Amino acid sequence: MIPVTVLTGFLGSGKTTLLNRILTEQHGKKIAVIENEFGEVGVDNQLVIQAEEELFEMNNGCICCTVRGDLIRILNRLAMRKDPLDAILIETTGLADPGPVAQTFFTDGDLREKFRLDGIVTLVDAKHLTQHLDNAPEAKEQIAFADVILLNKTDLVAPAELDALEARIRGMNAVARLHRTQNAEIALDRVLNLGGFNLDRALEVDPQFLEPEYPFEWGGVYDLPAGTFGLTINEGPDPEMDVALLPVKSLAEADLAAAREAAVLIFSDWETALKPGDALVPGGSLQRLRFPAFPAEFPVRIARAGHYALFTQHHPDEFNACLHAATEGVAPAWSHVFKPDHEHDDEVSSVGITTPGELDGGRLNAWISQLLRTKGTDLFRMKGVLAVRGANKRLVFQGVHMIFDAKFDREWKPGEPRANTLIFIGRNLDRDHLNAGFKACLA
Amino acid sequence: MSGFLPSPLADDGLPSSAGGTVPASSLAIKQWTRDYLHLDDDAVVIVTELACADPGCPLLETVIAVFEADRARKWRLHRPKVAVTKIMIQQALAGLLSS
Repeated sequence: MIPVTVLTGFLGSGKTTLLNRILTEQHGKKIAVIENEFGEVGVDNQLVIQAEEELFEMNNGCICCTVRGDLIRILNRLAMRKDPLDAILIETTGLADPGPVAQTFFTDGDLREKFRLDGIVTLVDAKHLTQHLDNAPEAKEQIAFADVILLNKTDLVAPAELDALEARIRGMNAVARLHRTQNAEIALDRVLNLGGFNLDRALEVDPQFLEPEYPFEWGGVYDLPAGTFGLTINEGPDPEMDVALLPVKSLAEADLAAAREAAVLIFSDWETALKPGDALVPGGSLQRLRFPAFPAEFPVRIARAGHYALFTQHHPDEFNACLHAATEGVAPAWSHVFKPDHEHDDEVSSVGITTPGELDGGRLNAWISQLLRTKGTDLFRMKGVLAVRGANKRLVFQGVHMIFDAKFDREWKPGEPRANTLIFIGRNLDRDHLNAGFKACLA
Repeated sequence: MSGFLPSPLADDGLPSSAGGTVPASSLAIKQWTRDYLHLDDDAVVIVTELACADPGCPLLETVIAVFEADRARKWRLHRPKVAVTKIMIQQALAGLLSS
């Protein structure tokens, strides 16, 4: 099967630059490029085919069943070649919706036997991304569909702005691998052979994506004797930071979880502002440390020896912060980096669900069918690994709009807890509704 | 349980020697379509099962799409692929069945 990579991105995002690099690098592969009519790729040794986007509705008026007629014809010709190809790259027009391109590869058995959709690579122009996202729905769709996103032209944008852009992209597609690039310079193995639609690699995502979001980025537990300590904030990106300091019974998992949940409540409460020199004391209130200048020093008063958890709005490394006794730094006995709240200000977002237990196959089938029928247009990508009651193997699946691929892969290992993981990327996703619908499928 | 969560566009591609009133496979439907329309080798025939959203329609319909160099056409049969026969294909292609 010939792997196919789809390149999407607005005009000026760097698609042609990336294509030219892929075609001219000495990789020894025979690659066919199917490019849109505005492209300027021209390389002697490789096969370059001009295509004109032709959308064809298999069903009447449903985007979920729309394919690319021009691609179907071209792929048919490529399948008949005597000289086999190693890979195919499809460059889409700037404003293209990646859905019909992806769906083309799932439509027909003959196509599925000969071609394997490997991944969707989306290039974004860091300089103009905000403008594109605010003015063109296609920009969001291209990000939502992507397996890999290249945040390109990073040299034209300040680092802080890049962080904000990356956060906005992550808010939409939390699953894609994201690389910052200049001149679309990227190792080929990061854009080819992605396995983005490969069921065996369905859940190769950052495990932190599946964690719940917290209002703090870091938590550490310190084993402290009674006395006065100091919290030094050396330098940082913000003039203030919220923290919560509270006692913890022990380092046992249950006690840490209780402290974490208590901290969530504290972070939703009103804050008390502290200026340098004001004492930080353990308790149940949120404390906002203000930094009129760096370094800023806050005494920490501990009346009774014990374990104390410090939860901080930002990672302490961002402020080069440290807790110390006299001049000696104190290391936490336990610490964890939490997934921060994303700003879900875009209509496109990702929802991850993880639930232990087994599912009732009938209810799951009914729920998925209903979901696809009613929300298929808004669901761009789906992936998951599920435990179905009565099946000794994992059910893995992935989908685009209403098109689904599912199979049982490996057996659950002895002692391996049965658990379910699902990822949705789409428009106007109702997180609570998806969660509730899925949990109702538990056996 | 391999049929669990089947794709609405899944295609088994199983060969079939069926004709007449015997249920069809994709390969058979493609061949009947080619024969009836006298298509040349460059033409592509796609056969796919889709969830149909039309009121009163059964859950699955079979869509036959034909892509030739200068045009693309489709025919919809309001039944799943396994319930499609050669005669139905011929009637649909002749425009005798509503789509």
